[in-house]
Amino acid sequence: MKVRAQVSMVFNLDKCIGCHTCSIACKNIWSDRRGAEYMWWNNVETKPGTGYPTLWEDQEKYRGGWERTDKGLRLRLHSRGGGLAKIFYNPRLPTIDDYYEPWTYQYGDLLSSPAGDDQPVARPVSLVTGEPIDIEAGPNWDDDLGGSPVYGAHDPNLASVSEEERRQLFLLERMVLFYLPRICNHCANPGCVAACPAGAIYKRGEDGIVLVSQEKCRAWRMCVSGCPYKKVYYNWGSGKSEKCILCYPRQETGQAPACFHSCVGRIRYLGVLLYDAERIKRSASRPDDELVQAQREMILDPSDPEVVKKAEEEGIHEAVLAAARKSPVYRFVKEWRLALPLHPEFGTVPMLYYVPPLLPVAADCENGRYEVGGEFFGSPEQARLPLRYLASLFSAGNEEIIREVYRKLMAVRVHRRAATTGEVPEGELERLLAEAGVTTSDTEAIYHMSSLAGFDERHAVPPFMREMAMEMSVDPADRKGEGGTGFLRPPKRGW
Amino acid sequence: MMRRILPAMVVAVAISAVSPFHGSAEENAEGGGGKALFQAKCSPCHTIGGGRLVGPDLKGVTTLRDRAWLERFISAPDKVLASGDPVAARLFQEFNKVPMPNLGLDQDQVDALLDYLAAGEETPPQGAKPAAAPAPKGDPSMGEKLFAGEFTFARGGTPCIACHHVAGIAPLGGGTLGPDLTTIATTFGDAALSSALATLPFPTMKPIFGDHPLTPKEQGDLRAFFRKATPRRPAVETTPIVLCAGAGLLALLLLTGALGRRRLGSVRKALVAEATKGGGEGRWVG
Repeated sequence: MKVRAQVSMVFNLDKCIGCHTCSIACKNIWSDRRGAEYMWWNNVETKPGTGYPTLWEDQEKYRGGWERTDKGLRLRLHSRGGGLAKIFYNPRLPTIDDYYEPWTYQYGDLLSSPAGDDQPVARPVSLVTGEPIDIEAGPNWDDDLGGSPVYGAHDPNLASVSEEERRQLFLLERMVLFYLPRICNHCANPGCVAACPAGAIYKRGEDGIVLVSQEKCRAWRMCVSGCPYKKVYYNWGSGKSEKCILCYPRQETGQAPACFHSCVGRIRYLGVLLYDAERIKRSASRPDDELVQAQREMILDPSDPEVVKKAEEEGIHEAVLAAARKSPVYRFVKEWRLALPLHPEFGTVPMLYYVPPLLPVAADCENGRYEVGGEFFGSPEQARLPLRYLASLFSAGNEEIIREVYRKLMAVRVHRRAATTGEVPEGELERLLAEAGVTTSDTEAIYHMSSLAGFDERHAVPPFMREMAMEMSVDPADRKGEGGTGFLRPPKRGW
Repeated sequence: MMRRILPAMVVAVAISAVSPFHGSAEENAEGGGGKALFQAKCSPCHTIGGGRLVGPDLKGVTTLRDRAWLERFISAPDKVLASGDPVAARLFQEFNKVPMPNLGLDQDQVDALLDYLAAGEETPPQGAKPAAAPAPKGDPSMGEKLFAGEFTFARGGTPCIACHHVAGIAPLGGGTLGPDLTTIATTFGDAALSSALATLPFPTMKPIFGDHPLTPKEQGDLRAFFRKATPRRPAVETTPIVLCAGAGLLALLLLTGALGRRRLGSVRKALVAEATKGGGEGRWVG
């Protein structure tokens, strides 16, 4: 057992209202620079939909992540030799059009236009070329249009559902959509790190945050292809790749990352997970059906005395272990088994988990009475989004896992309904709790964490112990006196 | 490598045989400064009453031109030609545009030469070859190898290609310090070529070949090579080079294009094009 600490995340999709406040907070802090205009380290996309960049989930096109072969895990992008042969020519990159061409408006024209019969307009101009453009796409172009024939209908996850289900899904009366906010997953087995020929990408030992060294990056852009989530972006201005840094400068000063901090729906949870690094490979190599289970097994209980002992041997500080014990992520992922990794079949063992959205079941209105088909609260099978669709997103096709999550979420709701209105039929709550395999104290705790938890409960930011992490290579006192912070760069001379 | 030092030494005595004028020069070496000088410096290109070689027959030249002009011309022919002297220019045109080299003679030598020319002693005519020493019949392919430096000169002379070019000699051609020798056989004519090869009288070549003359066999090979070179090859063969470069460029472009076809194009545009193919109506609109 090789214990590692990872700052990990849960997004509760049930609560996401698609307001993009997280994206704006991130953009304002990190990617509001020349060359980074098109980047959204945090983006919110509408599902069903093709996402940002277009069809990022389609690895037949982008060849990101890992594939399981007879010889074990292999990068889908290329072999070592193949990568060398293609080092000057990486054919698997999204074009700027697949992200979208960033633009602004000529607002000045509104004020400076001469008097005339027509209202002046602010024309859109490209932020890349500065020329006027026709806006054709954006990072969430299809916002709220789950049924759109172009983007909604081409969601790669729809391949898993039947033709009839697909037709139903896009009937106007049954139209359904939900939001999927995405940041870097800070994977335990990152494809970008493996694909980088310059060795510029690394996963920080103390907190598992994946970073691109701006000093070492040589712009090969293999990381852009290697990441199956397309969460590494190439900056055309600086000639370096960039990605979500999980706001480590904020975290090191005890603050939650900006997107977490600003989340209006309070859907985001952050905390430390302990995992067994020796099991990463085994976990990523399992057949699709077992991937989620394998990933859960990889995560270790921070209260287990044996784990604590091993963790301390690995140099994980007691304060970090204490934070891990308070981690809401651990509860969602391991204790309640509600949060699932996005596309575990990509093999990167993502460390960002999602609670699938419990969308309202389809109901009929008969004789003035609102009916939700048969059962009291409907059943997972009656969900508007087919279980198969969600399974394709969150469990590599294993519907049973989604069904289990849905049962729990329904039990929580029925329990709350019984507690607040008492309208629940006799025996219904007990039946649901038994089916879901939870007790009322579990549902109470889930309800509390989903709905009532305050800022500090949702964001158990661990102490970052930078001095301790540094101690491994230099004496912190020396470092303090000599180094300061950041890079040492020669000043730009004027001659 | 050809090691023919010994035979070369033996044949060295017969150097004179290559050039009939040279032969007589050695015989009469003690016959006066002017005569010896003429034999050494002028005879490769000029005769007195023996007809034209590379340059004009100098019989009666002292009566044809005035002495001052002759002095100027012999001491610095390059300068006279460059100064736009009409006589020098006419001669240059007349004699296949082969300029007379500046032999670096001092005033005494020029005077001695002019005195000798004024004396009117005739050199034997071109055809009067001593029968005892016929020029060896050369092998043109051996000459080409000697020219290109594939075989070294027996006496250690520098390969011709270092300074001279002959059309088609090597992929990169020869040096450009000396003139292009492609048409040297027609420009110089047989006799002049033979004597030039034997003595290599040109000022730039003197310090290089002075102590390393060519053996008669080598001279013959080179002469045969030059004779063959003339009609065989045009001055510069540019057409095949242009064709090859063009074909290479086209092949590279095609290869790049073929590789580029495997590149991922715009995914979104393809999607939109496919979805709006049927008159803008999507597949799943209920």
